Amino acid sequence: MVSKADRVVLIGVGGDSGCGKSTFLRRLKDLFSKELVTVICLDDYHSLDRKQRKETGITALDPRANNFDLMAEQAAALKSGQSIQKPIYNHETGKIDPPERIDPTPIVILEGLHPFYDKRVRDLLDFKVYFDLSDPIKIQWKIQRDMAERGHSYDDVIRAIESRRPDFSAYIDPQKQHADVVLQILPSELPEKKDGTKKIKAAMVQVEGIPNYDPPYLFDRAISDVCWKPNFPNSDPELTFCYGTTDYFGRPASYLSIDGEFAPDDSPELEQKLRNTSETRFGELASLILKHTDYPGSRDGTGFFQVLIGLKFRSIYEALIAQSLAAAKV
Amino acid sequence: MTTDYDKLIEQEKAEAKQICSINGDGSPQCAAAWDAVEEVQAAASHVQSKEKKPNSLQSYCADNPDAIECRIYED
Repeated sequence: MVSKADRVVLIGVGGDSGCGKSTFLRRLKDLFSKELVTVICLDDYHSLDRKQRKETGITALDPRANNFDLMAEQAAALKSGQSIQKPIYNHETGKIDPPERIDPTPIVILEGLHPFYDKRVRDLLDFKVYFDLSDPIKIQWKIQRDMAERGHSYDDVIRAIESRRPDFSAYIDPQKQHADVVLQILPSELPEKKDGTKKIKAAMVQVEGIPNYDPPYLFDRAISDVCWKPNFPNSDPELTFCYGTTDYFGRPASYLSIDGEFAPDDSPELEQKLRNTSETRFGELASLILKHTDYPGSRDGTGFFQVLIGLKFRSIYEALIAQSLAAAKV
Repeated sequence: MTTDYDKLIEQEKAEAKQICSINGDGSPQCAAAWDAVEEVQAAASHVQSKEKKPNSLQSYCADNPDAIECRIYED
């Protein structure tokens, strides 16, 4: 519970299902005690249940299947410290269950397909993260998830992706231009792994001017477009870590990228060259990777940047709390 | 009570294939039906990652936290 005077910090986490949002949320929970964090799954604001969507031919990606008025109203209420009666979308039955009471905690996470779609909701968010999964890796991850685990055929995986694509491109993907930080998951150009799967190049794009955010960089902020090939004995010989400036949908931005795989044990050395990580102690980033090498993406830039984004969010949270404490004293 | 997600996924998938063969692959009904498959699969994979079955010692200690094998003093 938060008292009225306290500041509720709202963070939005967007991207398609199976893009790594839930792994990122697990990593955030490793950074904050669970009493501090409430996660709201935006599927709860579906206005049509599964049966109705199938009858009308409207996917969950379509804004018409979602109640943005209620989402905006309840996000505003939570941010001002008020409790809400939030509907529950039941993923098992596909129905909308009776609402539950949600009391705001100091951190509230809005996670789902449309966190930045509605301007009212977007403007309430203190930090916006989007997971941008490129098609070849989306296919690869879905094959790993749906074929290996559940006997789905390759054709089914492709058909599912193809049929959802028009709505994904129309309503979900364009939201990334509103994000503060975008984690791009791209196929690497390095040779494939022994099992025939592609390696990953992860890039963390951060637009300039995010409040309370000092962008991390490699070696020296003044030197842009620099790459480092560390050459660790247990990692890819071609492992490459880059920093540079770029333009992201007309906004000046900088990026960090990691191409290839590394042994988690090498993460302390990877992070040594990185500045502005917002760590509270030296080596914190690497220790968070090493704490959970079982999470997917712990051997490439996916996990590394998930942890880094988490650390950056923690420093935004602390800055906002310090400001509200200072304001309360006056 | 746990849901049989494999069965649920099979049902949704069969329905999607049927809907797509009636309405055509590019139809909105076909997209909505495959979206339902995706939703159930995502739910299943979230449950699976949450539910790692406890081993026999863990379930014994959940029932008998005072047993000699299970006591943990945090001092």
